[in-house]
Amino acid sequence: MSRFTRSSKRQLTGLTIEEISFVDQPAVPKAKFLIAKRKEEEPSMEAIEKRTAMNGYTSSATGATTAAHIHEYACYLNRETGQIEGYVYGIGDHTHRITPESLARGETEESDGHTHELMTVKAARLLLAAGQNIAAAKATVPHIITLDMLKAGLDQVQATVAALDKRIPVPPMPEGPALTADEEAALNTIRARLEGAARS
Amino acid sequence: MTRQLELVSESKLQATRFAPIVKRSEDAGFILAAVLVPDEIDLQGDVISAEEIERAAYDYMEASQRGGYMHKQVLQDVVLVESTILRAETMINGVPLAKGTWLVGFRVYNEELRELIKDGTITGLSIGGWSSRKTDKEPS
Repeated sequence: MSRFTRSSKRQLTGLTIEEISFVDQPAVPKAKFLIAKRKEEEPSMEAIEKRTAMNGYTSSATGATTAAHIHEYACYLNRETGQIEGYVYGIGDHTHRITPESLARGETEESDGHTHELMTVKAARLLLAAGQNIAAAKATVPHIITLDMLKAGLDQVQATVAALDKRIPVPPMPEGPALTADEEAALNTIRARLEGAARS
Repeated sequence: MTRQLELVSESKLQATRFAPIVKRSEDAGFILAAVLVPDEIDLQGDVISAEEIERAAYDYMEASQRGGYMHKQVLQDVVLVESTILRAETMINGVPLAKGTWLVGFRVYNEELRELIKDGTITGLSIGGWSSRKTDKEPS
């Protein structure tokens, strides 16, 4: 087996098949598994560099102009603008944006005549609306994430980025003894040569 | 210390996988699809071994054999009539299938579903279930 294959693959184990369905088309491209539950580790340096703070899957499209499908989505902190942004992918013919406004609604922006609800946020909202507290909700729905949790996670990323961006103050050079006339003249000669080299 | 951003409390993953129909009868009363292919890297870099496919297939045959529609409805009028683990590379309808591939065949007694298959609306099968993920280490 090639080195590339071994280093890039993730093995699925303990597969339990409950049913095999007749379906119209792949919800995502052929042979791609849909991961509805996943564990996000503490944001790594690599993740921060990629600016991806969290991800998950949208609900299947309803009332769509195209067949029902889902998208994988990711939310991230735009380091240039400081805004929470998001995108979805997995479908070739259209895409959706996630804006702070759509995130607050728990869904994507409209594209191709439809929107998608963000599964994890939706799950949280449904449970909270049903009067369950977060602890109880987490116990019953493993993939729950609330807006507050998302924002806290993004705040953490932002704080980490800010810390990384801090410049280490450079201490001032210590004052030395005054230059003699000869030393001053030699220094001016060097400066003149450097300026001449820079101009040429 | 940074706070952990935790989305789930367990390691199980919900998984579905699309498998196009590789063969069907003219009246769509029978369809065949390769539902799992060993060591085929999907777009997320996940693979499943031949041993894992065989075990999962046997478990499904023993415990379930259920067929459904769009993972939303169990169908009583589709019957699993074939479950084969390929012991050698095989060609079906011009589609090469690797050794260890799991093929399933259903008889379809649901007239509405037959029409959907015939007109190309229904194009494949999709397994629905649960799995865990183990990431291989980079070889030294």
